[in-house]
Amino acid sequence: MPLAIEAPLGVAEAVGLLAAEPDRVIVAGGTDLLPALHDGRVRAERLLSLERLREIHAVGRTGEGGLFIGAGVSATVLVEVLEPLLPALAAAAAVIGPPGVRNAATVGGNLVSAAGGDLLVVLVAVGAVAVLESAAGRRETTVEQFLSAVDDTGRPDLRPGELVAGVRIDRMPADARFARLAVPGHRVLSLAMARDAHHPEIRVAVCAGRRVPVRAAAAEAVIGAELRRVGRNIEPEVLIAFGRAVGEAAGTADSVPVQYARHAADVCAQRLLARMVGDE
Amino acid sequence: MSEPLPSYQLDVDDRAHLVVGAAVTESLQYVLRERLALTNVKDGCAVGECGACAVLLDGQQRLACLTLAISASGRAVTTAAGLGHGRPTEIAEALARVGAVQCGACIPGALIATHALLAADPDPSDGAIRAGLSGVVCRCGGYGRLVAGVRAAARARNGVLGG
Repeated sequence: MPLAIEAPLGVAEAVGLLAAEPDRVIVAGGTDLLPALHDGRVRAERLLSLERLREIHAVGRTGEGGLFIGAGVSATVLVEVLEPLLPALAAAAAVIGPPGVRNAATVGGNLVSAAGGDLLVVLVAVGAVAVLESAAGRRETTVEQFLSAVDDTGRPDLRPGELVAGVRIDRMPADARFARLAVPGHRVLSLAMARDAHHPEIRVAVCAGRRVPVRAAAAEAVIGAELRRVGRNIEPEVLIAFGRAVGEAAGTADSVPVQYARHAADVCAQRLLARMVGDE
Repeated sequence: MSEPLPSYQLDVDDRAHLVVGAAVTESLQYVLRERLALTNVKDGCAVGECGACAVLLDGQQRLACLTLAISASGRAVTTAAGLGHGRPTEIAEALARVGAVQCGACIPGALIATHALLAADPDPSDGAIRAGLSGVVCRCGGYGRLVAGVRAAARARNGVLGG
């Protein structure tokens, strides 16, 4: 008789179990599954725990100077370990919840639930890749693409039999920043920017009035043109145009008025960019 | 209806308990409070938003309502009542002394959060205290006294260490 909970030690065994028993519900830290069970949104008779999977609990440099973060890495570990490597992601991990939640919440869980934009905006801004494993092998897609499926189907692009092994950042940014704004009871804004190490460009990811982050493409074009023109001395009018463009990437889905979300995104984007170019 | 799990052991506050006939989806909060009658583990919200069910799992602060009970098997679980191994802790005495204990519902979670905070940061600033207790929702609104209590607890502990 199959056990109600399996906790395999390796990814190969885990994906084999998922293929053989597709009704098994995956659980890692429990911060998403337990409330869903309580609310009746999920029914589960058999579980697959990722707690012992060797391959998904590490943070490490890749051979090409990139960074791999295992899906099972907790927010607490991100705060501790990423401060020297990618402080923007450490800063985001520090605010996703109180200490007890941070000890259990995982990167993989955040990707799969596609809820809460703090870690996700940073991952989108730095161009992170999601590494997915299944019995069919490895699949890779950008975090941005993985999450964009939510706009169409309500769920990220996680296919049957797949689990998230981790995220990988192939090209570390020269500089990355994170900001968020919340008022009691309402998440207003999560925002991240990453300056490319080799090209005069800044990627901007914003999550305001939307469930998942989007790239603020028009804002990126504005700042990219200005960086190519003048380097770091950004003209004030350009900063204003940049902020407005980031604001226009805000959506209407949350409980705060869209005008407020747009204004918050505009102001926070200007401040974050000014700090980024001014600090060098 | 799912099959009950085979019996499993939970080590809680230096005692071994056998959990029989549980469902795999039961939370640690449910098992500790309802099956093992460890009622200092409160049922505040069941969805991880109030902090009342906080426990230590292998010394690390966790919300019991967000933790599968079966995943705690083979690990050391410490409830607020177990922090002092049967005696009140300096933290508990400090919170009581400053009047932070009103209805008491938030206190077990506050004790666990304070214990974890002071273990990592023995002399926390007020900002660090508020951050460390950011998961504690006090329905009596006694946050000022909670912060004062943690400050007093830190002073008492540091005094003991220094003296």
